[in-house]
Amino acid sequence: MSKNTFSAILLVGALMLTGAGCFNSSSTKSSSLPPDQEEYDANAEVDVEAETPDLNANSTVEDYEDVSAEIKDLSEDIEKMNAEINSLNSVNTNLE
Amino acid sequence: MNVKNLLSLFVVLQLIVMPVFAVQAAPKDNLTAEEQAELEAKAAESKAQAQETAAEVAEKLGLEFADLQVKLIAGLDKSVEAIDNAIDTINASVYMSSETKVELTDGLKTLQGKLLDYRRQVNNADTMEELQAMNTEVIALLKANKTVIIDAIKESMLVITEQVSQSVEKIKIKAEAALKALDVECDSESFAEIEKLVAELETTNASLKVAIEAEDVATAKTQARAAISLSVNLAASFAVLVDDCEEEIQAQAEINL
Repeated sequence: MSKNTFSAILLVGALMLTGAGCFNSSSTKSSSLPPDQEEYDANAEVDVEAETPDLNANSTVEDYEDVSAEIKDLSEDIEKMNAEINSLNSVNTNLE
Repeated sequence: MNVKNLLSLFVVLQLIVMPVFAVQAAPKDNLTAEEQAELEAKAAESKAQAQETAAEVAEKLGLEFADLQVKLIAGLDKSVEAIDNAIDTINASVYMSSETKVELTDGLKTLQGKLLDYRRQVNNADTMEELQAMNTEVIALLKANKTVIIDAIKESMLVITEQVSQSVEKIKIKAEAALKALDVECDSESFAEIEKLVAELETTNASLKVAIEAEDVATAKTQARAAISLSVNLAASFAVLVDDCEEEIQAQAEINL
């Protein structure tokens, strides 16, 4: 086996292991959008533990202000979602 | 040119030239001047009529073909545009994953591809029969897919109302946890207000979930709208609560340090 042949086999092997030779792979597709957008999925369940704020008797005003900001962000999200629903509602659904 | 071809050419020329001379010569030999004039007038009239009719028919056929072609292309363009608009609106959503968008627009893109194919065929058609056949096929295609946009839009709305429901759920979790942790003697009306809003959000979200499950888009939209004012009011009340109880929260935190 020549040196060149051996190098070629090594390269092919490396490509197969990393998946770098696969066009349109799902990893490429999913990284094309911002992560926050990819979080939205119709089938995702709310993770109660992750959403529960870590508040206790030691929590400071800043901790509560952070929770307040999170609630505000969520309520603004709901407003934007409703705006999207309104946009969808105005789409012409008639086919000639 | 060989002899055989020469003879054939001669025969053809004879067939064309001889009748012409015969027709032109005949009236002169057998008819009076009056009869000949009358005959010539009638011949000219018939010839003019024949030309007019042919022109009319050609014009009529031409117009009908062009009319149908233009109408078909315009109809196909409108359908393609309507599908485009639906796809763009779905893709513009920031509350749906790319995977969900692909699923929702798949049927729309397939139909759009077929319509564009028909548009090309209509554009390249040569006969009325071709156009009529395509017209029938396009009507059948649209009939079979008449709810494709409605279905995609309806599904998109349900996906987004599901996101509304999840956001409401998150707000409820945070507000309840905060109220539970906020174990301070603080005189704020916001406590009661937040409790009331959380209860109302819970009721609204329960109705929203039922509507989503039943794919009742109208009710889901109504409940999602109701969730806006409740969540906005809750966010405002929570900010007031933190502001009202700032000193007490600080004192409690210092005691427990």
